[in-house]
This record gives sequence, structure tokens and C-alpha cells, in this order.
Amino acid sequence: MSENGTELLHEVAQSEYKYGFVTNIESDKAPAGLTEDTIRFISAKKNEPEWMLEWRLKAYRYFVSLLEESDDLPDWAHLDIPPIDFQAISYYAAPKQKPEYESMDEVDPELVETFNKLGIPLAEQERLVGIAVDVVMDSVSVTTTFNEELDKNGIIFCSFSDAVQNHPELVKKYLGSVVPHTDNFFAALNSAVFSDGSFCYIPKGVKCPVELSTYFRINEAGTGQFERTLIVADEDSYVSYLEGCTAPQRDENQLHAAVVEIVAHDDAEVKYSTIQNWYPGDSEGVGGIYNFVTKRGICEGKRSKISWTQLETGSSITWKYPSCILKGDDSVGEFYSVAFTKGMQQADTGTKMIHIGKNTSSTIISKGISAGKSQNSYRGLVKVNRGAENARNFSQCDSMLLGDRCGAHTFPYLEINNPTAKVEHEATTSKIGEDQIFYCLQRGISEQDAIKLIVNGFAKEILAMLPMEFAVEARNLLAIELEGSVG
Amino acid sequence: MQIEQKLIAEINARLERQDANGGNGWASARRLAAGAFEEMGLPSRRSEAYKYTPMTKRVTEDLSLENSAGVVSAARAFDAIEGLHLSTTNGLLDSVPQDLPEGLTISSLVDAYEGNRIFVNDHLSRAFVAERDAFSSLAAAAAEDGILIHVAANVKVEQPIVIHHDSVSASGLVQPRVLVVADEGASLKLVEHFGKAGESSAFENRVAEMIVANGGSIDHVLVYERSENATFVNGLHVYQEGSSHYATNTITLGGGMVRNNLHFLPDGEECETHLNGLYIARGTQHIDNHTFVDHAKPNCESNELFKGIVADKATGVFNGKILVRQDSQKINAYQSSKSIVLDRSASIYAKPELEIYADDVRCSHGATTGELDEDAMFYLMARGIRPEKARLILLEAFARDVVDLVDQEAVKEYLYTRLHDILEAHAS
Repeated sequence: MSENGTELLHEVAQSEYKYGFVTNIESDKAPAGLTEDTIRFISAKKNEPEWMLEWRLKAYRYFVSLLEESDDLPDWAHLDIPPIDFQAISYYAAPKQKPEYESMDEVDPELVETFNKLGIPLAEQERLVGIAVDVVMDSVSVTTTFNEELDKNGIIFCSFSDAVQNHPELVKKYLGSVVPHTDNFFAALNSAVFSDGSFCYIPKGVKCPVELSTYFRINEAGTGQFERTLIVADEDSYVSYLEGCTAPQRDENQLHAAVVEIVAHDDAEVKYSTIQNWYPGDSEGVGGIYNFVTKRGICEGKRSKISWTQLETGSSITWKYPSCILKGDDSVGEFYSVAFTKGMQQADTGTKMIHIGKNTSSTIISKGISAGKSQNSYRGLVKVNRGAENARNFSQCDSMLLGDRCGAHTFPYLEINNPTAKVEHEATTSKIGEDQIFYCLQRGISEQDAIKLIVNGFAKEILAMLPMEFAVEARNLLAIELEGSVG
Repeated sequence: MQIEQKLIAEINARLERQDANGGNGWASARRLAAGAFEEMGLPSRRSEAYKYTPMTKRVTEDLSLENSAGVVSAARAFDAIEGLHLSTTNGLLDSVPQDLPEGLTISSLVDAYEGNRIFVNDHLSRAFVAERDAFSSLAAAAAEDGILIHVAANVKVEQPIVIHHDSVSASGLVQPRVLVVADEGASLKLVEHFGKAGESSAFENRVAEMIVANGGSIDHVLVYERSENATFVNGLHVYQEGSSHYATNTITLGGGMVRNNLHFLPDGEECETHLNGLYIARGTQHIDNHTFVDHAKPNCESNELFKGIVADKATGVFNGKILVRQDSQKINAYQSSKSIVLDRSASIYAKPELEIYADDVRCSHGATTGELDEDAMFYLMARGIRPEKARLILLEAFARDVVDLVDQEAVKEYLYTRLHDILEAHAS
């Protein structure tokens, strides 16, 4: 590659985080530390019923037992995780007032400004496509729009705390049914201290008319974010759920351990899309978000479908495996992912497809792009159980390397216990095509634009899976990330 | 764990006994390996490297380093090969061959050590790393003797060297050490056969090191056919200097539990590495191929093809890792693993890995698991071929892909027949 190209890649690798800003909204914060009292404090703050507190405490005790067993964090991933002091984190922060808005005009102007900085104005989105946005700032939902439209269809879309108050029977039934509190280290922590999140229930036969969307924001210096999302799609229903996030620049490492659970009953379909663009740390990797997320869906019913699409560009450490348990016969699981890492970022992400029912099928397409000194890994499991007749899986993992100081890794696990299964996995790793760049240059396209073009083409297949307005944002984001500091 | 303590004590006793007798061989290397083994312990089920293979189950409390006399294998399959024939008992040469071509040395490792200590010491630590694998370390610590095959610079040994591992102890751990060295520009072909030694429940844990110097070449074929009671941990550690060629073909048809630990370090530019393998697991067999190609230097190429057929209640495991280190540019590394599951109670576990730290590389892996191709079955049946015959044709064709990569005609012919016999029973 020419001098220029190398310089450009260098620039990309070095570019500063574009979304580094702190929104100044007053918050109500718990003192740092994690004890049984912290759990009681959070639960009391949220005015939770006794069963909810008990559930949290059970998870807390399990988490403590894990800590007692070993001081070390789980180390199986291809990540270098600095020690985390769980006693130095504040586990609760909520905006002081909780206003209800009818229209955007009533929303705190500063908040609107925040969204403007993100490049996708909330108002614009509202006007264009009519998205109901449940904004999560720090840990408490600030605003919920389009409730009326949703109400009409019997759709429940609210903050997790509201769901605990208003729909305890649903929460009780499904909470922890896909990701139990004993699932893993960070899921245990989340189960104990989760502050808020979103809850969504689509009744039988309802196709949700709007795309449900939540913007997560981490806002209060020194607070960890522990979101919990639960989506239940009843028989023959459909919902497309969007999650996007970006966070202000700060000096202190921030721990984020979210849990997302999805349940799809007979003939239901859930499409879950994510754009993750949290603060990745400075050029030395200091101060970025630790993103340890447990996302899992269960295709409980026959012919149900769960589809995960993600664009991961942020966080200093990403540890995330959106998975599908294909329990219902003829159910379908999908995972489409683009992970872009630069600077000192580390990502270990992928999926698990567990085939249990008959005639289940799954597709995995993962594209990794690494630049700078970053490490980007795909880790995935395809498991076909004994009784899963005619299971079908196709996996493709492609990695692209931009520069000679980064790493791209692939760790697929294939466990096949049924002779009728057809499982295919393929992976390639290569650098950006020199002949492709040459071709572009010949036609008068600058090297910088050529790299953008080629990387976008590499990821196009996945970005096209995102809902329209998200796809635009995703393309822009990828271009900005590549451009370096150019705004 | 008690068993580890017991083995360590036995190793120490052996080393002390040797010291007392004056000759201490490569004792310091053995002590190092013993230390590494003590540190690591036997791999548990939680160990990532042995996740799918509970090797430790085979290590019972009464296992010791002491071997009984060998049980002789019934037939010598490769007698027909035109070449230099050697036979072993418990992994050690029955007799040292006479009239070897000039430049070729074959001897016991102890004799070689007596003759040239520096040579043996130098080479024993090149391919093998004590901390890499507990079983290899255990073998390296325990082995008091082994085999040396050495080809001097620029000597090309045309006829293949055939080792019949005929006779093996039914009790205790059989842990020989094998050292094969091709000096600069030298080449050799090695065929090893582990025949069905009676119904022996042999536990062989061997450490073999193969070193190819600049411009050298080694072609290796290993066929393992011991009984279903036998256990085999095949530690192969390959070290390549620049512009060298190394190829191995590991055919596993027998054994109750087999683990092939195949490790390759092309430590020079312009190296070519080929690693191929085939396994057919039946009954309750458990066969695991664990490969690791460590591309430490630029401008190299590696090709890997592993195929497996699992039937009955058997388990097949494949773990292939390709590591491209930083600044190892212009690497072409290809890996492919294909398996067929024939029965409901059979299992396949595959974990093909890529770990890449250099950008100007072409690396890929593919893994497939499935039934026989329906279209191919249909094609054959449409031509009047009965289903069981059609299945046999397709299974044989699947397995032959690997066998065809062996360049010894006699070995190929033998394997074709064996494949036919084995697969016939599973085609109906």
C-alpha cells in the first residue's frame, strides 16, 4: 500500500471518538459499593415488590459466591480485561425528575441536543418513520412516545420498572427464563443490580406497526450501566426492535453488563437490531467502556424466528454473543454482525445457535474489520442436539485487516450430535484488496474514498439487514469511523 | 492428584537410578519436562484443549511407567513396501539395521547420545516445548530411550523407511521418544504402522520430534490400527527451517481413545507444510485430531485437510488452529475439515480456529458436517446402483480424498482395501 494509504490507516486507527460529550442532567446516585444493602437500596428506590427483591438477592448471593470462588474475571475470551473493582462502582443513578412528554417540544432541550449530536435527531426520526422511542438515560426511562398507538394494538412497551409495577405476572413468568441468574458472571451481576431497561410484550396475532427503539446512554461519571431488556412475542406476532447507543467521553473505565432476553412463541418473529458505539477509550485505550452483554432469545414456539443484527464499533472491550435457542420445530435463528475495531479496542463477539427442535435452521454471517492495534475475534457455537432432526446451519466469518499491528481471530465451535444435520462453516482472513484499491485509483477515486468504498462493500450485506433508518446511520457511522477525525 | 504424584515419583526414581549408574543421558531435559508436567498436571475436562476428549479417564490409578513384554501384532501390513524395514517393541528398535545408505543413521536414542551428545541435546529441545502439552511432557520426562533417524546434509534417501510398531506392552504407559532429523538439503520418507497388537489394551503416549533443516524435506505417514481397548496420545512436534518441506498424513482407524497432538512450527521463510488426516470412528471409539500451525515467519504456506466418518456411538473431534504471528506477512494458510455422521448416537465436535496478527495474509478455514450428498445418492441410484452400494461408493470416495495424498503406492493400496472393508459394514 502506498505511503498515503498507510497514513490514512494510521489516521483511522488514531481518530478520536466523535461523540465525546457529557450531558449535564442532575442525577440521583447511589454511593459506590456492592453489598446486600445496595440491592435493597435499588429495589426500594424502584418501589419493587418483595418477589423482585428476592430474585435480585438470589442473584447477588450467586455473584458473591462466584467472587469467592475466584478473584479473577472469566478469562476464556480472547480479551485482556483489567481487574474490575466491583466495590468502586455506583450501581444506581436516576435523573431526579421523571417528566412525561406528549411531544418533543416538552423534552429537555439539552436532551434533544444530545440526540442531535448523535447525528440522528429524534424529531426527524419521529417525523420520518414514526418510531416510538423509549429513551433510557442512565438508568431510568425519561420519555416514552407513541404509547397511544401501541396501546391500541395491546402492545406493552415500557420501562422495566413500570413493567414490574404494572405487569408483574408477565415479568414474573419470563424474567430469567432465557438468561437465568446463574448463566454467567456478568449475567449474575446484572440480575442483582439491574437498574432499568425495556419491557416489550406483543400480544397474539399482532404485527407491531412501528419499530420499537431504545437509545441507551451512559451519562453519569462513575456509574455502571446495568440494563435489562425483556421482549415477549406471543403467537403469530411480529416486532422489530432497535437498540443504539453512544456514550460521553470520560476518564474512568465504565462497566456495562446488560442482559437481553427474547421469547418467541408459535409463528412469532422478533428482529433485534443494535448499533453499538460507546466510548472506546483514548488512543492508549484508557477510559473506554467495558461492554459485557448477555443476549439470548428462545424460539419457544413452532415456526418462530429470532434475528439478531448488530454493528459494533464502540467500547474498549466488547464481550457479546447474541444467541438463539431453537426449541420449537421449524424455528429459525439468524445472526448478522459487523464488528469494527481500531485503536486499542478489543472485541470478542459472535453467537450461539442451539438446535433442539426438528427442522430448525440458522444462519451466521459475521464480518470483522480490525485497524490500529485492535484485536477482533469471532467466537461462535453451533450445537445440534441428539433429537434435532434435519437441522441446518450455515456460518460465514470474514475478517479484514487494515494495518499490520492488529489481529483478527476466529473461534468457531461445532458440536453435532445428529446424523441428519447439515452444518457448514467457512472463514477467511485477508487484507484490503490492493487490486481493488488500484482499480479505484485508476478511476480517479482517492485512496481514502476507495478504502471507505471497499470496507462498506465488505459490510454491505449485513448493513442491508438493518431497518432502513438504522442502515443509513450505520453506513454513516462506519464511514466516520474510517475517516478518522474528519467530522 | 495422586496419579500425577505417583508418575512423578516413578520418573524421579528412574532418573536417580540412571545417575547412580553413571550415565545420565539427557537428564536435564527430562527434569525440565518433569517439572512442566508437575506444574500442569493431567488435563481435566475443564481444560480448553481437552474440552471434548476426557483423556484423563484413561489414566487409571494403577497406571505405571513399567512395561511388560510386548504383545506381537498379528500381521505386518506394510511388508510389501520396498524400503528399509524396522520393527519395534514398546516403541524401541528390535535391532539396528545394517548396511544403511550413506548419510543415513538409524539407531537407538541412547546410542546416538553416546556418539554425539551435542547433536542429540541440540535437537531434542528444538521442536518440543515442555510447557505445551502435559502428555508430551510426561512422555519426554519418562522416556529413557527412543529412536533416532538422521539424514546428513544433501543426502536424499529415496526408499521409504518403514517402521512396524509391531509389539506393544499390554500394561503400563508406553512412552518412547522419536527424533527424526533431515539436515540441510536432505530428504527422507517415513511410514509408521501401529498394527493391531492382539487385543492389547496398550496405552501409548509418545513424543515424536521431526526437524527439517534449510531446504530439507520429510514425508511422513502414520497409520494407527490398534484394538478398541488401546489408547494413543500421539505428540508430534515439527520444526522447520527455511525453504523446507514437511508433509504428514495421519490415518486413525483403530484405538479406543486416540488423541493426535500435531504441532508445526515453520520457523523460516518459504516453508511448505502439509498436514492431512483421516479417521473412521466406530463402536465407542473416540478420535481427536488437535492441530496447531504456528506461522512465526513470513512467506510460508500451509495446507490442512482432515476428514472423518463417525458411526455407532463413536465421537470425532477436530481442533485446528492456525496462528499467524505479527510481521509474518505473505502467509497462505488453508484448512478444511469435513465429517460425516452415520448414526444417531454418534457425535462430531469441530473447532477450527484462526488467530491472525499480520495483515498481508490469505487464511481460510472451512468445516462441514452432514450426511451423504442426496443428489449424489440419487445420481447413482438412478443408474441402477442399490442404495447400500451407492452409500459405500460415496463413503469410500470421501475417505479416499485423504488417502490419495499419500505418495506411497503400497500404503495407498493397503488403505483402499481397509477402507472398503470397514465402510462396507456401515454402508447398509
